[in-house]
Order: sequence, then structure tokens, then C-alpha cells
Amino acid sequence: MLEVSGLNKSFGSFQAVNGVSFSVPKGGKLGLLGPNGAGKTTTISMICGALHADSGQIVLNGAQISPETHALRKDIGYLPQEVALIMELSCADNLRFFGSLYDLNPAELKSRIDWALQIVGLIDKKDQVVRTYSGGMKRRANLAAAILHRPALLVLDEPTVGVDPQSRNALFDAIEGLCREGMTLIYTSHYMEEVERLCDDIVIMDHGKVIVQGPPSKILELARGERRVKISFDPPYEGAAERDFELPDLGPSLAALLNDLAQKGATVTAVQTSGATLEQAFLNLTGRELRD
Amino acid sequence: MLRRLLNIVQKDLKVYLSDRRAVIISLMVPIAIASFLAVIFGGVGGGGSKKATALLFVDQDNSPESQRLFDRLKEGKSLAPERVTESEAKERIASGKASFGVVVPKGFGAKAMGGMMGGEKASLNFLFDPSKSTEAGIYRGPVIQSAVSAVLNKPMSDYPGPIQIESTPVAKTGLTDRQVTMAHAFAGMAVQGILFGSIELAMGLIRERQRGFGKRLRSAPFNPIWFLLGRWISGAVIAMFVMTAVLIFGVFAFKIPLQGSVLGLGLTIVCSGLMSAGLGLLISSLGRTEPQSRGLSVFIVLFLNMVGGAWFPSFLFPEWVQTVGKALPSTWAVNALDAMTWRGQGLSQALLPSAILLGFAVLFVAIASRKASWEPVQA
Repeated sequence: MLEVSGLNKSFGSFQAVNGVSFSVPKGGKLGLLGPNGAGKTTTISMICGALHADSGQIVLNGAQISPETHALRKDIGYLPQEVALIMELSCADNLRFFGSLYDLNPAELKSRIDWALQIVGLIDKKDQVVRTYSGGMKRRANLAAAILHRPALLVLDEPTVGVDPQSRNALFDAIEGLCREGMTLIYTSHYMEEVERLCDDIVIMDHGKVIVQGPPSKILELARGERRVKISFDPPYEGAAERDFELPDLGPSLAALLNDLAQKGATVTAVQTSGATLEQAFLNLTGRELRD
Repeated sequence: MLRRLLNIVQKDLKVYLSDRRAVIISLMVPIAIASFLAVIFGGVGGGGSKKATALLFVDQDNSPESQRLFDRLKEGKSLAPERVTESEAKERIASGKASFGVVVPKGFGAKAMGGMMGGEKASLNFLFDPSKSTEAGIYRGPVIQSAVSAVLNKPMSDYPGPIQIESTPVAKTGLTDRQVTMAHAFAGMAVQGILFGSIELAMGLIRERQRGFGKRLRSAPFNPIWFLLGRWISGAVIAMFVMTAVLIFGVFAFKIPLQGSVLGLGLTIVCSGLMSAGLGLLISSLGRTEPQSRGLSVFIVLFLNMVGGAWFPSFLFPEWVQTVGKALPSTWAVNALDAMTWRGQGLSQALLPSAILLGFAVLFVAIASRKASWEPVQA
């Protein structure tokens, strides 16, 4: 479906994207993770034709796309980070405008608008001026504008930033519904749990480069070295009621640790383990917190 | 593609009309300034009477001729003579408290008649504030006329000079100079209104480019040039609306004369609208951020208005400024509006200015489409 290879983009002396390559099969759901400045938005802007790549290739369904290949962009639905709507118009008017850019005829456009508004749960508020919407409603309307033409590839750039939990759930339900219909997804986020919930493949980027690509299970493998164990003692052992340990695994290594503690006279009352998370994997791979 | 273009135009017009207060302000500002200029320069609101200009009168002759000169100046009504000493006159003019004065030197009365017969000439000394040299030229005439009348002891209405000068306003019959002044004020302010509108168009485009909306449009399946063309057309339609509204207000509220070709006026409005919207696109392409473009655009628009004759008739400017003005679209727009309103010219007189305005419009859009950056400074 989508092949990105050797993508480069610089702004002056700053190289925002440096040799990025990845692929997404038809119907695949790719999560693009990275801290601020990692190059995620620049990468997807090039995929959507909003930015010229300095070099590299983006091939969608066998055709190479660039800002000049206008017709190919009708297969892409793009949701930018910012709310890309006309605040002075109603949601329905916004969707009519965006729909018209994709050459939808009036009858088709009308049914698509209703379909998109149903999906994002704004059908009852479609005639309300967007300026009067809450932040979450604006984000949902933003999504409706991106999916209106039923694109084969949906690219979402941090769609839940600044969204209240209720709207976040509504957005998630809508996106999951679209994925079930077979839409291919590229999803960028700071939130690991969103990517874990939605995506079957993850690309971790930092400083403009791809650090790793693989399914969540593969990424978790990389976090194994960071498993933590919290052990409680009663009476306190060496003056402490609790101590944290880092272990390579929770099997033989933990058994060996407990045995050692017993031999030293410690009375263990509780053992708490924390499993490997994508957050830990990210920290391991980049040396930075995801939301840095 | 045409449908997409029309949708872009329709969207922009909806956005413009959605903020009714902003629409009213965009109309009221040029109307208010034009009305103000019409009132102060056209003599409206004061019963049509203009206050006489003060003239400090220094009589060192104290002759019957100098007394009659004082009386004739007073009768003339354009000047209000006030007797003062020479030192007082010079002090008041130098300090800016008065602008003009005339010194009647000793022996003026005795020499004057002889001078007229070919003997030694009598002279008057006209004093003026150097910052008002243009007006000084205007007021010297009535002083000389009054002096001749005083020496010959004939009334002003029966001006006895060797050459009679008659003044005939060369414009459509039935127009007063007040109507002409007001019509020019409305033409100038209509042009100024749409040029300021071009700044708003430019700033709106820059804001859209910088925000997600521009990025979203760039990812749509069409060439961004079409988006630019859509903005050009919608901007032109808004400019035409503003220009028409300002002129209609002038016609009804100030009775400005529409004595030229209506078709020519329409053509001028359409081409002026296209020019100002094109200018907006050009301004938006000159800077990548709003602050960069705003300062530049204010300079460009003020320059176009001032040198183009939107504020003052261009004949008041030095010749080289008038030459520069001929290269500016605002000059052609104001002159064409003058021609189609109070000058009462036909369609043929609108063709050249309209073609030039259209040429400017196409040039501006062509430069804008080449220079416009569709990419953010940094994604």
C-alpha cells in the first residue's frame, strides 16, 4: 500500500527527516511515535503531499507521490495537528467545502457528510458554527473533514491533543470503526496507550531517524531489561521497609533474588512486579521520555 | 476544476459575510473618511461659506490708495485684512500664528498711478510662511487685483485692468466646484478602501498558510494555484462590493455626480477590484509571517494612496511625484473613477485605465503564484 524509502527533509541547516524508511500494507495500522521534534509531522506532511521531500521516495499503491501528483492525493485523508476548519462557518458548510475539493457531486456529498458526521457523533450539531464548538468537538469535526471522501489511507497527526476524555473516546471509537472497514491508518501520537490500542505496527522516530519498526510485541522485547520489582519487608531489612530491584527477567532471576534475601534473614511480605511497557521501550531506545 | 474554484470563492464570500460587524466596518471606514474630506474640502456643513484667510496688513503709506486697498481686500471676502505693524506681522508669521501679510511701503500711493502710465513702478511686499508657498501663490492674485482696483479707484466688480481674465470651470455643466471636490474625495476613498482590503486579504492568506488549514488544502488533490485564483476572485468581488457601496453612499448622501458612462464605471470597478485583490496576493507572497508582511503592506498601500492621488489631487504634487504616480495602479483607478463620475467621460475613456489596472492585476497574481511559498517555515 505505502512504501516510504530514504526520505530526507531539511529546513535550512536543520535536518528534520533523515533517511526515513518504512512501509504499511493495505489495511495496516501504523503508529508513528516520537517526542517533539522527532520528525513525525514532517514525514507525514511529505506523505500527504503538503511538503516537498528533498530526496527519497513515497510510493502509494504503486504510484510515486509528490506535491505535483495532485490526483493521487484523493486516496489520502489527512488530519493535521491543528484544527483545519473555517471557524466562521458551520460544520456542514465546512464539510461541503472540503468535500467539493475532492470532486464529490452534490448528492454524493450530502450522503457523505451525514455518514462522516454520524461517525464522529456530530450529526445533531452540524449546523452550529464551528467557532462555538468545544475543543473536542472541533477535533471530531476535523476528523469528519479528513474522512469525508473515504480515503484508502488515513493519516492522523496527533488527533487527540487537548481533547477531553469523552471526546477522546468518541474519536477512538470512530477511528476503530474506520479501521474495521479496512482503511489503512498512519497514526502519530505522544500517547503510547493510544498506539497500543489502535496499531499493529509501530515506528519509533527520534532526531529525524527511524529507531525501530515492528509490532508492539517486538518493541516490548526491547524493554525487557527494564523490569522492576518492588519487595516489602517486615520487619524492615537493612533499615528499609521496601526496596526496588531491576531484573533481567521475572523468572529465574526473581527466584534467585528471593532465595538470596531469605538466606540473609530478610522476611519478604510482598513482591510487586511491573511488566515491560512501550513507554519503557521508548525510554530505552531514545533516552528520552515520549512527551519530552 | 471550475466547480472547485467557485467553491473556494463561495467559501470566502461566506466567511466575509459571516462577520457582519467586520463587513460594516470595511464599508464605514472609507465612507467616513470620504465624508469627512467632502465636508472639509467641499464646504458642506457650514452653509457653504469658507472662512476668509487672515492677511496682516502693514500700512506705511497711510494714503487714500492704501486705505482703499485695505477696503478692497475686505470686500473680496477671500482674505481678512488686519492692520498691524511690520515687526508684528513678521513676528506672527515667523512663529506660525499667521500665514500671510502685505506691506504697503511709504510712497506707494504716489508712485502707483505713474507706474501704470509707464513711470517708476510701485511695489507691495507680500509676506508669507514658507511652509505655505503653494497657497501664497493663490492669494497673491487677489492682493494685486485689489491694489489695481484701489489705485484706479474703481470697484472690484468693475476690474479695470488692461486684460480681463474670465474663469470658466471646464467640466460638465451644472457642476459646482464643491460637487467636484466631493466626487474626487469619494473616488479616492473608494480606492483607498479596497487597497486596505488587500492588506486584510494578504494577512488572511498568510494565517491560513501558517495554520493547519493551509496544510490541509495543500494535501487536497488539486494544484494550490487554483486556491490562489479562488482567493483572487473572491477578494476582487469583495473589493467591488466595497467600492460600489462607497460610491453609492456618495451619490445619495453627498449628491456626487455620476455623469460618465455607467458601463465604464462598472469596468473601472471590476478592474480596480481585480487589481487590489491581486495586490493582496502579492503582499502575502512577500513575507512568510504576518508581522513580516504587515509592515511592508502598510507602507505599500499608504504610498499607493498618497502618490496615487487618493488623498489629494495629484496636481498638487511636484512634477516628479506626478510622473511616479503614472506608474501606480492607484493613480489609474482614481483618474478613471474621476472620469466616469464628475468628468462625465464616455466608455472609451475607461478602456485604457481599465486595461492598465487589469495588467497590474495579472502581473501581481503571476508574481504571487511564483513567489508564494506553500510550505511552512518548519513543519
